[in-house]
Amino acid sequence: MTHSEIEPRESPLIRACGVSLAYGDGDRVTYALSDVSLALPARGFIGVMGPSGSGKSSLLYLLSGLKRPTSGEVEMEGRRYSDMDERAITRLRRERFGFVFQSPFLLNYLTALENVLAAAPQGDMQAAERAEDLFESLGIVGLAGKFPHHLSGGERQRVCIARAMISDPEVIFADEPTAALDHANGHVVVDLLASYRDRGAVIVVTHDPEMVAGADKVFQMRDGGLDE
Amino acid sequence: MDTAGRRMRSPEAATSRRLVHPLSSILYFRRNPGRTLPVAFVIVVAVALVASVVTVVNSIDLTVLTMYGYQRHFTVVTPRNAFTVNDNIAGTIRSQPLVRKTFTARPALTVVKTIFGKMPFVVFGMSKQGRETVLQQCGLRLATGRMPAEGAPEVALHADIARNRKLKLGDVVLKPDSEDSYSLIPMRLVGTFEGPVWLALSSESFIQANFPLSTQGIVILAENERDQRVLDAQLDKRLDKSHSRLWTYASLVRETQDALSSLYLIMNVVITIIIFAIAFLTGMLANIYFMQRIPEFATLAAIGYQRRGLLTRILAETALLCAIGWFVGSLLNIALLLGIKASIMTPRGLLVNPFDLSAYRYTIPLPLTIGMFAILPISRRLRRLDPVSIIEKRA
Repeated sequence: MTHSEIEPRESPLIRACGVSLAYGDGDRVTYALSDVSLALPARGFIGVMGPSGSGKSSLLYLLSGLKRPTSGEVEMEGRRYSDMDERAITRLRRERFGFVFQSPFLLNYLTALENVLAAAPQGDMQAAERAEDLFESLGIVGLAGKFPHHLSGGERQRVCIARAMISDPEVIFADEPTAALDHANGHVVVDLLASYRDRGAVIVVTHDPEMVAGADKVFQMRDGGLDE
Repeated sequence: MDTAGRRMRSPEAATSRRLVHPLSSILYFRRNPGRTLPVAFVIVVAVALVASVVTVVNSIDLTVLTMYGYQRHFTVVTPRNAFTVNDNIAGTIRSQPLVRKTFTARPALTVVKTIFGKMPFVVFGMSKQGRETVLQQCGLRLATGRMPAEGAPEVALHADIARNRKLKLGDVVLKPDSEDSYSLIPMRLVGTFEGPVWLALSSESFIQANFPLSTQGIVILAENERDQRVLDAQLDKRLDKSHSRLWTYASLVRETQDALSSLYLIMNVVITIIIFAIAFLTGMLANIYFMQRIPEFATLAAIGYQRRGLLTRILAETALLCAIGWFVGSLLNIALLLGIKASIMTPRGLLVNPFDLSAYRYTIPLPLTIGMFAILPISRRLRRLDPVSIIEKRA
């Protein structure tokens, strides 16, 4: 496990306490996650590493509120997700989280810029300007008016990163963001995500150790649990 | 940032971009014509179909009420079991305070062609003074030719009736060998009227002399249409029905509605079936397109769009599409019917009202039902939507 130092006095932003995630019922229950506890800082580049099926994506879904744990608790700044209804969790994702998925989910009928603006907070008059800054910093300034089917995989993933960053989220969750990219593009994408570490927490789930080589902290997972 | 990028950042450019939200229905329609146009097209065709069918069926009602619309302006009492109205009844009529004028009249019968066949039409035989009074009361004026001469086999008709029968001045209107426009002595067209009311006039003396079985009725006029309605109602209560028959506009409307009630019932059933069939198919088509967009909705849900918001978006898209389809369908129907009216109906003296509002009322359930069929399945699907399952499937 790679351990860069994280400021020890900083209180965790998100905490998972003994969370499990099971699928199926009765005798056919399969645990994707089993009794995992961890704390995520408010800033930094955090990697979640592990082989396929180790439960790293499931962990990301629980931490981001995309799924509810079968048992255990996830909380943000001391507020339990289990105390929030679906609307509150969704609002949390909209206002405080950003997402980058393995497959670049973009709306095909919107341009790159419109895809990014679709994730901007409602009524945000500065969103367009911010989006242009993001396109510039992500090196895709000439792609704003292009539709997703005219973009390469790497370009699409950069648009997804811009979309994740448009609302200045406190946490960016990235689930295997480099899996569909070649090595060079993968590194560019991870570097772009890592550049956000001073503004918030970036949680990157990957099976490629190279991608989290520069992480402030890496959680290693195996068989649905944290590999201590 | 390059020059183009800097240009994008000007306040004007930023404002113009903000005008349309990326997830607005308008933008979706513009960018996805392959998905929106087929649904809109079906709505347009369905609305035009239903509205045109109802308008044509309604033209029966319109035709009857227009043809016999003169009854709004005067009432006729005819005798029963006698050739003339008896003195008691005539006295009762004259004693009504709203009666402005009365005079006698004798009928001969001709026909008017309609889309549902030939309808009988009365040629009123009246005195010269009676004819002038009636013309004035009905707001008619002589457009061509002249009024029938006293005692002569002559007829003057409304121009629409002449067009309907393809008659021109000098043509025979009633003749000995006609089954539906009989007169022993041929009666020729000598004049046509223009104005809002269809009317056919001849001289009473000629009818009396040449139609030995014709009865003599009393034409009753009030000051205006409103008084006429009141007077009709009073006469309806006071006249001895066993010895007279009262011909009023109210009874015409009632009888027309009674006669057409079965037709309207059948039309309602057929239109309901058409609406549900079209709405079901169109709704399902729209639903297929919505289902194809589940990954889009899952992505939006994952990044923080509320399900209710997504559903509202679908509702807005469907409502807008249905509204546009309905509006264009209505316009298409109006254009279609105006064309039919100008090229087919009017030259034949047939009636149709392209702006018949009741026909458009029949089409309102169409977009509503299509919306219902489109939205119900997708709303159920959205309620159970698990973004993760879609994201993992695509990964």
